[in-house]
Amino acid sequence: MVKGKLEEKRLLYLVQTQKDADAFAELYRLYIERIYRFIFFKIGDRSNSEDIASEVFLKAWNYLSDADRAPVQSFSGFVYQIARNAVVDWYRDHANAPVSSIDTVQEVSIVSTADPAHAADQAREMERVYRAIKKLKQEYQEAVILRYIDELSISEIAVIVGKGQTAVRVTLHRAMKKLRDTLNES
Amino acid sequence: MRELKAQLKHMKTRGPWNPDAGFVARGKDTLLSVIRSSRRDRPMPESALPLDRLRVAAHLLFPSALQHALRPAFGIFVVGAVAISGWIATVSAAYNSIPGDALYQVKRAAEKTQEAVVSVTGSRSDKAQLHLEFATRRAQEVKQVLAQKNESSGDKKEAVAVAVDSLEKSIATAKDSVNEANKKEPEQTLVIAQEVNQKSSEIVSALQEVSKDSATSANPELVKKVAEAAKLVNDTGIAAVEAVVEKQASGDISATDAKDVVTKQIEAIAESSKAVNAAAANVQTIASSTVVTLLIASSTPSLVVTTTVSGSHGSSAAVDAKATADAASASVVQAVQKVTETAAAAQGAIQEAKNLVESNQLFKAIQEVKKANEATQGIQQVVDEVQKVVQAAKDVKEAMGVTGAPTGAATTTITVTTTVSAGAGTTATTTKK
Repeated sequence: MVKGKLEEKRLLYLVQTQKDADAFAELYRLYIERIYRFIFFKIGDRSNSEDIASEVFLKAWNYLSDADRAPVQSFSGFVYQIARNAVVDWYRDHANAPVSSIDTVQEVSIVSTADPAHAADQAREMERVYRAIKKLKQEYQEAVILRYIDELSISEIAVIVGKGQTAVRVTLHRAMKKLRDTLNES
Repeated sequence: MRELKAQLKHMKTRGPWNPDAGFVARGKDTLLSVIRSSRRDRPMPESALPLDRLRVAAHLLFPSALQHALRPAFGIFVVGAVAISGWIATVSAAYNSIPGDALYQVKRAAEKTQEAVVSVTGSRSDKAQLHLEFATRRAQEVKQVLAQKNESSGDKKEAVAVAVDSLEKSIATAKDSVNEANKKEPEQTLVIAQEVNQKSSEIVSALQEVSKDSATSANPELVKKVAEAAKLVNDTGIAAVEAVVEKQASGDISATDAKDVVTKQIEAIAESSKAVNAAAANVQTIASSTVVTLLIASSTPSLVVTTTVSGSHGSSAAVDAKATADAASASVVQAVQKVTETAAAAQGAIQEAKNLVESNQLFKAIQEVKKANEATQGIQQVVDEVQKVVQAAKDVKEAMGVTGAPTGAATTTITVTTTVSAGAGTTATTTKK
């Protein structure tokens, strides 16, 4: 973990000081899945999530490569913030857009053909969890996704959400309790 | 709860909330394509200097707050490591060397090392201050070269020209650094302006001494270079002070601090104006002397006869000489008038600037400072024109073989008075019989 963090710092440093495109491409590789997931849980649509995710990284590059901007210390906190803002902008521009639904069962079933029944059960269960997460308030959603899906540490999450570690722990505890209650109700 | 956490973990690898592999690959290619077409990226070179790697390492190892606090210590560490080889003893000895000395290259090499260290560990403000220090040293070197007594005039002239050239370049570098620092580190605007104030007055003071030296005033090219150096110094100072006044208007700098830097800039411009006026007075004295000599020569019968006999273009040479002398005389008179008027305008603007500072109208005060600066440049331009005329007159003198006051039956009395008022006022009266 320490080695990964150092590498990330090194890449960020190269991007900011030398506009190193390859270093930025590596940061893209490290973060694209998490950012896409983060966006998808808020938007719920693959196509729009792809567009927004691409836009997030382009914005990140434009900021980091601009020598006139204040330097960024943590790429993680920085890129999640851009993603958060991008989602807000998207909702503002698409206030009346219908909420699209996902077909989790079909997507997961394609992958698991060895035991289709089990795969379908799993898919249905994941869809249930997904819908339960969507019912949480944004703060709880983010905490659950970042901690238990993206597997980030408490300190990393604290940087991303801009809170102290204790506050993050408290939020996580409440979020999981709420998620469990929501699943039990359904 | 454990089961729920396991389910959540499972969602990381499966489900439409995960990006498609094709999208990830395409996204990366598109991103790189956009980046490379819009900007030129410079990946870290394979043969990066050890200092670059050290910088990256420092950035990784130390938190940003600690990096900032450790910057001076880091700089000292690097300089200290270099010193282990005994370099520092040589550098100390070279500190007082001037262009032409054996150790002067050592001094300049040490400065380059300092510059490299500051580039790595210092801020843009640190870099600007270092460049200002270098410019001050170049100015001191010019003075020291001029003060040398045991050099032949030819060597000294060359050494002075090289030193002034160096000075001009270092001031230009300092100006760029100051502008960059003001743009990128606005919180350092006041510190930078204060440093510029201090160094500018040292440089201008050195330039004044250089201007007064007879070796300089006899060399039109050198006079011009000294004036250009002074202009650069003043432009840098004005730009730095303007930045302070803007920050004061937005409340980021106190009125007291802003007034202080503006006042110091006014003093610097006043000193500079004096220096240019003094140079103008010197040049005009020389011009008057040359013109007078030529006027006498062109109207001395014996010389005209001699010239007619000895040269195939003797008679036209005499006519040319008279025409040149008349034109030169007219130029000098016009120049004197213009310099007087312009010097008065500069003085007026300086006084107005002082009054405006007293009444806390700093923006307007800076505008008056700019006017004074422009007027001072105007005087320099007049000086340049006069020097061209003087050179033409000298050329004609040489063609006629006239080296000093002519002897002969003819007697001519001419009185030429040149006066430069407001500032370094001088009155030169030349009487020839």
